[in-house]
Amino acid sequence: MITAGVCLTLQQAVCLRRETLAYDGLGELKKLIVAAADRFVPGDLEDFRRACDMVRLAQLGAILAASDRRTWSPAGTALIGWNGCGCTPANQAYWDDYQQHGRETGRGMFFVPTLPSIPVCEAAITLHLQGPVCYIRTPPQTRKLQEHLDDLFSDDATIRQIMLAEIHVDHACLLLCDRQPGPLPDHNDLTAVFWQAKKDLTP
Amino acid sequence: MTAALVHIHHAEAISAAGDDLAAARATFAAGAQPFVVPTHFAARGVHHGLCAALQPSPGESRAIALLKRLLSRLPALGDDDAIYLATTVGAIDCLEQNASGPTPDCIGILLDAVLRHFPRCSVTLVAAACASGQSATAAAMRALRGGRCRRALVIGIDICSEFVTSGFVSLGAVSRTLTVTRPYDAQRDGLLLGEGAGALLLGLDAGGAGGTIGALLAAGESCDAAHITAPNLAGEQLAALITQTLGRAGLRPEQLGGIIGHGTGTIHNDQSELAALDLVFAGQGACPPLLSIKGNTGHTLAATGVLQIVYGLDFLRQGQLPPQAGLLQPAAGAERWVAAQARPLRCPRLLSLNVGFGGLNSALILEGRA
Repeated sequence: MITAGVCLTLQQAVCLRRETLAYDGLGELKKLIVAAADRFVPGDLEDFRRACDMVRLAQLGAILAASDRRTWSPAGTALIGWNGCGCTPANQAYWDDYQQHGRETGRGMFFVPTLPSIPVCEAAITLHLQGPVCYIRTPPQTRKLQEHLDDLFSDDATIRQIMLAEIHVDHACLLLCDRQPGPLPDHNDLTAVFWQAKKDLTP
Repeated sequence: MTAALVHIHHAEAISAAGDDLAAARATFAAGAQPFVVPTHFAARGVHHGLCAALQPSPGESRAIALLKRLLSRLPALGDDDAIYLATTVGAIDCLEQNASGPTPDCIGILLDAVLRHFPRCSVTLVAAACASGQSATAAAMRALRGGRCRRALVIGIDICSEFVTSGFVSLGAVSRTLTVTRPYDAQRDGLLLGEGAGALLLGLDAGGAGGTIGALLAAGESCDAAHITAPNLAGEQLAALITQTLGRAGLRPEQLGGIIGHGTGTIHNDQSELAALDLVFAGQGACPPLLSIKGNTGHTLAATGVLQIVYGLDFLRQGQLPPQAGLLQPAAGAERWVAAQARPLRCPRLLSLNVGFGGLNSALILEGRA
């Protein structure tokens, strides 16, 4: 069952339960969150400055999704990155930078994000989530993702909730799901799931 | 209550240690380190663990060629079977060769190649950095236990490439010697990269008259959630995961016959891993023998988790862990874990460990068959 979530772009964050935030770039969103610390769950954003936008979307989206939940605890939370654009933009960014610098060596700050699991790992660090964390790619059907959710919950009784993250170059959707029954509605991406959930919540 | 056993019906491995299991067995027994300088990219003198028999056609992706070589050895699958593919960068050489045009989706290219070979199966790509191999295996175990599929094929694969080598050099992770890696050694100074592909065909059925070649008892995953590249040097999170995974298998630490560690040969990875093992086995007299296959294969990234299981099954068949390749003098505190000689397994059960960027940890317990 979806308990919280957020859809965010580089200019706007729409939460499932809370108010929409408007900003000019992710740096400004970070400032908004830090300035209103009492309204958001605490997060470690030490890596934010040197991160690419996909990582920043994951980090800030994780804070917003967690803050959207009525009561938040990081204990027993797993995190699954699903589909999105994987690591393709980060691969190109690293390779371009490496080639432009004469093929002597790459640069670590560009190399590390070339793994598709890095944005969700950064999100896990931000919220101190110590459950299983990985990125998976399946056909674009949420019922395939649902199978992974169900299997993870039934396999490990210590997992209380799972954060799902679909991250693209300029937008992301993060949803929190708990153990209560209630499958994800069948869609091709998490954004469509989010908007259906938001519509269902609207009186 | 422990979960259902997941049986291993078939296993394949290709790495620098050998193109097949028989060749790899000889490499491990000799403690050989078959590292060479690649000629397919500008490696700047850095030695790698290459799959010697791999000869891609002109213009063919090395990753695809390695995948095809592995797939050619696997049995046919049905439409009620599922595939779990572990890779970190996929066919990254397609990006290296791409002079212009849209950026290739390198992991997608590899995934599509698997789909073309097994068009009736569902394929899930699992990426958890260098823990991907065991993470994919854990996902396959869950799917079998959840009744999602009749059999699950796990594939772990990554190649040596300029892309990855330049990245690891930039992080200071590659051995300064450029020629040798020494996991768990006092003089270790970094890893050497390798390439490889491994496959495991899993099912819940015990295999009938022919039996199976082994079983997976339990798997667990966690995240340090502390640093994107550095492990927790105290090893607490990894130790907690090992203890939890042992519990899920209904085992105590002394019921392990041996351990295949992640053992990259970097200062911090090995220190963290040894600290975790010390925590788990604190107060125990004799420790089970520990081995890193990366002394023989190099660090094969997403393939390593699957290779550890495939080679681990062979170690279980032989009843011993081979010598630790590259070991001159064990690191402080490693004396009770590693040795330059082969050592008998205490019982036919191995713990296999993976860790990866992002603080990812994976522990898995496998059991051999007589």
